[in-house]
Amino acid sequence: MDLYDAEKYDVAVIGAGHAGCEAALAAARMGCHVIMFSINLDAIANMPCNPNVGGTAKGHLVREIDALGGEMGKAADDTYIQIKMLNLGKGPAVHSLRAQIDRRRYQERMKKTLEQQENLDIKQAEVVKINFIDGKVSGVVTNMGAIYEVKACVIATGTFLKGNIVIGTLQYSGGPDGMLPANSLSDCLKEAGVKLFRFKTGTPARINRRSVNFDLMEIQKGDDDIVPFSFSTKNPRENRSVCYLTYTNKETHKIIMDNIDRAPLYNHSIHGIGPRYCPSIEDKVVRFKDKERHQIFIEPMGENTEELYVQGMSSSLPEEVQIAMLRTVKGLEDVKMQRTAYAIEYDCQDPTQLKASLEFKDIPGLFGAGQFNGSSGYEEAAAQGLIAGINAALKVKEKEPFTLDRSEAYIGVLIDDLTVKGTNEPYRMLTSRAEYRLLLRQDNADVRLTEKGYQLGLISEKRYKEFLKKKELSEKEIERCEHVNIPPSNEVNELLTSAQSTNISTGIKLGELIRRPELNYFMLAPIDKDRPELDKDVAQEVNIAVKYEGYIKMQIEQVKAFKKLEQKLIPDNLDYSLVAGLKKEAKEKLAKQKPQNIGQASRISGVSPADITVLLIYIEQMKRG
Amino acid sequence: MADTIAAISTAVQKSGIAIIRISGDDALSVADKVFSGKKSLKDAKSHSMNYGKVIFQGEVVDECLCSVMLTPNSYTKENVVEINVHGGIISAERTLKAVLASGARIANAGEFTLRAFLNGRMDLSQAEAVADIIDSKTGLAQSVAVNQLQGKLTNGINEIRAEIIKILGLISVSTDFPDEDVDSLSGEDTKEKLIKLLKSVNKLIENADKGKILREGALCAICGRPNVGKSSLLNCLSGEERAIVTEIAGTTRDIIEEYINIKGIPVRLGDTAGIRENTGKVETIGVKKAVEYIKNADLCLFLIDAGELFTKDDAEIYSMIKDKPHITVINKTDLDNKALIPDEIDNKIYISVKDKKGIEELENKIHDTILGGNFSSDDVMITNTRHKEAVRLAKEELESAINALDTGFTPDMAAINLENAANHLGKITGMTVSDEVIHEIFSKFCLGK
Repeated sequence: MDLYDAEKYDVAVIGAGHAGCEAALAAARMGCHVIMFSINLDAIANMPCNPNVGGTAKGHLVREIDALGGEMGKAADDTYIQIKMLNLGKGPAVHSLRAQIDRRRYQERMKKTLEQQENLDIKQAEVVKINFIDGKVSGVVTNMGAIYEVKACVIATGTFLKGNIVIGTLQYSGGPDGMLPANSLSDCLKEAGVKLFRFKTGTPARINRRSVNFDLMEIQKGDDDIVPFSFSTKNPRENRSVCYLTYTNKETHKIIMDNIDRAPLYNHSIHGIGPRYCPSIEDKVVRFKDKERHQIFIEPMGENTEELYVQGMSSSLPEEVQIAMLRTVKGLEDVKMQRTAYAIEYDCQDPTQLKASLEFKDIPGLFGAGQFNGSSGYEEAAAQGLIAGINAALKVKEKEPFTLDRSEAYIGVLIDDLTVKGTNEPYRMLTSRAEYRLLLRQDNADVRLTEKGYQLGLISEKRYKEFLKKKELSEKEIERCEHVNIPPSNEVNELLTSAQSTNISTGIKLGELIRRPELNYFMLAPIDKDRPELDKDVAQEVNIAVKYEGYIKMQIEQVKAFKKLEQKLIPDNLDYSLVAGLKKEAKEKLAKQKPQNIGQASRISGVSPADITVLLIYIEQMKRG
Repeated sequence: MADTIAAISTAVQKSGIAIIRISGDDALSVADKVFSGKKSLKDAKSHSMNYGKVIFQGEVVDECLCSVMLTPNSYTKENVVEINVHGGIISAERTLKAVLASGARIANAGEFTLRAFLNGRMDLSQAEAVADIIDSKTGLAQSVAVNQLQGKLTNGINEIRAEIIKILGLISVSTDFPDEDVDSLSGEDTKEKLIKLLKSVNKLIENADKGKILREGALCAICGRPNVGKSSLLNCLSGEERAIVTEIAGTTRDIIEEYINIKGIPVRLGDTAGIRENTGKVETIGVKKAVEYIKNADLCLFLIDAGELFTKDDAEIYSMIKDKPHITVINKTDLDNKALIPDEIDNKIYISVKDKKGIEELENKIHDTILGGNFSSDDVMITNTRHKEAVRLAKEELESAINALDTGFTPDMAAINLENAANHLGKITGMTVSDEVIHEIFSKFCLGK
């Protein structure tokens, strides 16, 4: 291969999936010259698995990305065909948005945004090598032989690195969705001292709408009352499409069990580690033998296609078995399969090698994001891409890194989990991973993060001003609810009676009424004479803040305790081998990961609370000298 | 590197032997400097007893047996030598002096145990149990502490904590995977499980009160009119003539206390001034003190004279104690029973201090009233204040969770309480990281220079 010197950039982004797009846009919007590489420009922002954005906890991530000035929420709002708030029957902490996305339109929308972005160039090429000078990133080399000099590089390779497709006994080197794999970069990273893992994931078949009998399935509709992802979306689109629910049955399971020796997962031809929470259908059937049926959701891939996604049927069984098992499902008796389900194995890296800024601890200028960091999911990828892009830009500008902690955002939880705890399977965000989830709600992501996005230069002046106004309105209204007195009257008690709430005989604060379980802010509007006109989202925030005040206060206390441990610093260069009483595994892990504070140390797997006690005593004794 | 510490590890009393314990990297070489035997201790096998003499400044201090326990198979997981010398203070102290002169430093309070904890030999609740054993006042208190040392408390707490975490898991499955048709936990199911858990926690707390009594002693007040025999009862139970016993009513003006062991329970028995309406000034002060004392008591022994009529003063005293744990002790059954005690006076027992009749029965009744009839030292029992506080907080969180479900909050909200409860319990066994635990350790064990 002939090498040549191509242009100079500040930041190179390797990969144009959901992580790469956010990284490139953030760095460019912060004023850096950015080049983004993709093996195929038609793969930009592709959804090679489910055509969804959001979901439990993932919806939170999208709203946080939006509040920080990222693109995913806006792109999803422009292209969804159905949207739904999940968990509405549960507490406000776990309400999460999920949308069905028109996949191709999303890709086009994102590609055009990238193409229109000042400071950003996109390039179809495979990066085969990263150059280093004195251990720092100095450039990237493409398969065309072009050498680009850069100051920082974000790796967001998704499942492309040494991608290996597995369908039954068929195996071949390949990337997702029919793309070429990236087979060279892994070796270069290994040489640079990066520890790589081998993970696996999979996707179900795609089928043709004409071959499906929807009459035998249950229809699944979107919300009537639509909340969009982006805080800047004013007039959200209508729902345009529906999904369907059907089930596997004994016959399906029999076909799977009869062919289980042909399943790569069970005949040991797959070595990568897959996600527990997203098992293949053969895995579900084997592990949950007593379950008579499993749910199958049929989801449209877009408005300009008859292709449908078969959620819940991810598989790596041979093609003929896949067809046979699909055809046992109610409504799919005559189904035509357009794309075969497959499993894909790929290289990713041990994320404990990263700092909270997503820069490698030992390789200045090199950042990682997305599935490359051991996560799974578009939203998890986008969130990391945004943070990696921001920090690559800050690195170029020689500024302090930007990080979020567990009490500030799901993004903070995600990155802390990955970089401190590490992961031994593709990591998925869950609401139960966030300790302070009542504070990290999807409805208040803007309150938590817009200011930070603005400081970084990713939120426009106009949007920031709107946000400040909204914030002031909601704070004022929360204040008013706690002070305004509702005197007893026939009108008040009639309303209370109709809501099956105890009547009042003396005056009561509006807030107290809102906190009654059978009431809420909205229901009390008729008797709340001085209530100002508020947007629905502001009113909703007021309702939650007042209604759940007790729990919110409790979580604020928990955050204080958390911060106390985060602020207990571990001296640099602490020699863990001198700390008597630390278990061997703890000594090794602590010495390797070099946590900055006790809080981080306590979250490293293999470090027990007893080890932390020992460490705290050691540090305290050092202090007392 | 652990410096080498030493201390006399047997109680300073007239026992048969005294043990000087040495622990640390140099324990063997330090001990060798004062030990003269067939072979030096550094050549001795782990867990061997070696006969020899303690020599200090050229003189034989005592004959001794030295046990050698090599790291990590010792109490502290460090090298440990225990020098057994003859009992009594002089031998032990001279031996310790010799050891300190040979390169060890004197151990701080609880330092052996602290090292055992720091070296991973025991968890926090076990280390605290050791401190309790050292402090324990009776055999029963000690056996509870021994149970804790063996990890019974840890197991009991962990069982409850594991159950909470299981419930949390069920709640999060239905919130994180709302589309899956898994059996999700309804508010009612959650509540039912929590009520069951609360019962276990309440049992722990009940036992905690008993545990406190075993550790710190039950405060027991003898009260009654003047001259019904309160001081005689104190003397009878304690077996000592401490309280002044006279026939002049109102002799006891101060509180006289005695520590006694009643069926394994350490009891602080207080003889109070007799309470009556018409009193002299000095006696009035005594009465005030008596009333105050009764208020704080864990158990009141209400003493009545069988030989006299039940008076207004008796009724007055009874009203003061009837809501506290109490035993009505009718004394002087050697005399004619003239008292005509009203029916509402309960928990009666008849004794004669003079004839030593009914004393054994009274002791049994005191034991049962304090600990409840079916008490066993095998129960998981909390003796430590820090532990009790953690369990109390966990209980509050469980109650809040149940209350939240009752008032219409969803299980995912109640989960916040449950996470708190699990954290509180984790602080006992060291499963939860908190620097409060560290403060506790620093207050219990003397650290730093």
